[in-house]
Amino acid sequence: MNTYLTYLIIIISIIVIGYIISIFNRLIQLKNNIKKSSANIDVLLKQRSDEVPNLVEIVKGYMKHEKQTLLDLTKIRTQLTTSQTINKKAQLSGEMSSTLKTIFAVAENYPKLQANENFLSLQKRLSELEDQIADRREFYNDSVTNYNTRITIFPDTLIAKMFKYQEELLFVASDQEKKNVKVQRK
Amino acid sequence: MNILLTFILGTMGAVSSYIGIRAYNTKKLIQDLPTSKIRSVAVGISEIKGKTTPLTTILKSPFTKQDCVHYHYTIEEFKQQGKTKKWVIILQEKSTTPFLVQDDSGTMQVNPKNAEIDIPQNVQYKSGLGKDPPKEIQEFIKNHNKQTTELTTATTGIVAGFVNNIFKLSFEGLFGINKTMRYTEYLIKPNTEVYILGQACIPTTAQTSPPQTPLTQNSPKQTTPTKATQKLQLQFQKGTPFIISNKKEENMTKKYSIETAIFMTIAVLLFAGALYFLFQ
Repeated sequence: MNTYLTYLIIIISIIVIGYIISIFNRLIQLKNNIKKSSANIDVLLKQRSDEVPNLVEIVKGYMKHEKQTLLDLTKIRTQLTTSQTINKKAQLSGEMSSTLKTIFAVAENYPKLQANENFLSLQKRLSELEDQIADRREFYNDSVTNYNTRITIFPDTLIAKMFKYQEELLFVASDQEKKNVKVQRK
Repeated sequence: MNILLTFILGTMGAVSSYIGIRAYNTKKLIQDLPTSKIRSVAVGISEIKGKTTPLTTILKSPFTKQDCVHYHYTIEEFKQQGKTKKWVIILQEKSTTPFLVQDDSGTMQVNPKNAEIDIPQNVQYKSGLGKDPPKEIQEFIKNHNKQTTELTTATTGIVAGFVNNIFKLSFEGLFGINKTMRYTEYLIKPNTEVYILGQACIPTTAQTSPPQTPLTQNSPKQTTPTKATQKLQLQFQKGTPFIISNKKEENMTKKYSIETAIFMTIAVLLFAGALYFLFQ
């Protein structure tokens, strides 16, 4: 009888240890998913930031009355390239999106600018980047939600607490980004 | 004797647990990886959903000659293997032509080479004693043998005879009596909703889709957009699963859950048996 009990204990121990290892590995995988999706957003944010000087170069000759908007855009770009936290990045990214929307909306008042091929292709490129950033933000938020859910449900929460895994922040659109752009027609 | 049994059962248990763990990891990967929109897929393991479209030319399925973007067929013979009779694959082929998958955001190229393709069979024909295979199968066998003869003639220089007969496919056995055979065809038709999990990579030049048109032409350096998005392809990469299926994500998860449960139970029973013989 004792021998059978030993087999049973050995098998149960192996299963329990295996299960704990699988939970630990899964949490690491979820955490890596978040890191990867955050890095993938950074790539697009950088690509968008790289286009800003080109945009400013094109529009500054035409939009003389929008000097402040262009200065704001350049300032946001500089801040975005040095920001580290996801909160700050989300806020600045939202501000940049909003400022770009304003520039493109105001540009409708300048027919010569609208006829500039370089401006139109840059507008298209930036619009594509905006869409991709939105998709990747959604992907990032899904990854964070998966992870945050996982570390709060039993039994994963025990392992998460043991290794001090904490909730991650979502990439939330800023209030400024949610606002509609209003342009005064000349 | 006990040591030998312990070793055999232990090895079988290890193999079974390996398959079970692999199925469990795949299931978790499917659950944990959010679905990407095609236009924003990044390099690395990705999951997409969309409808299939042919890349350049539409394929024809080998047996039924239907339009498809991917096909797979097997020809099996029911024959003696050791002490028992079982179905043995004598010929099979999976198409490796890349195709496109489209969702509401864009299209992406998929190279199905080495993919685990989980699709239901399109047709299955059987032939046996007193029953010839249907015309389309006979036609397929005839064409296959013709191509094989041409190939062997080109490579060996032997026009007919022994070498060609080795590779000849036939549904008839000795004295013209039909062998028990079955012919199964699987295909993915255009416009089919598919689920794909695989590695997104930049394809090699031979597989690359037509290049994107530059965003600006002959424009001054400072106003040229810095980078054009490179088109990625979903393909096989060693160490990561590559699954193409027409099932829904929930059904895929269910499938791998069942696989995990079956193989892990078998593994536990085998390990228990191994321990029993070890301590007896």
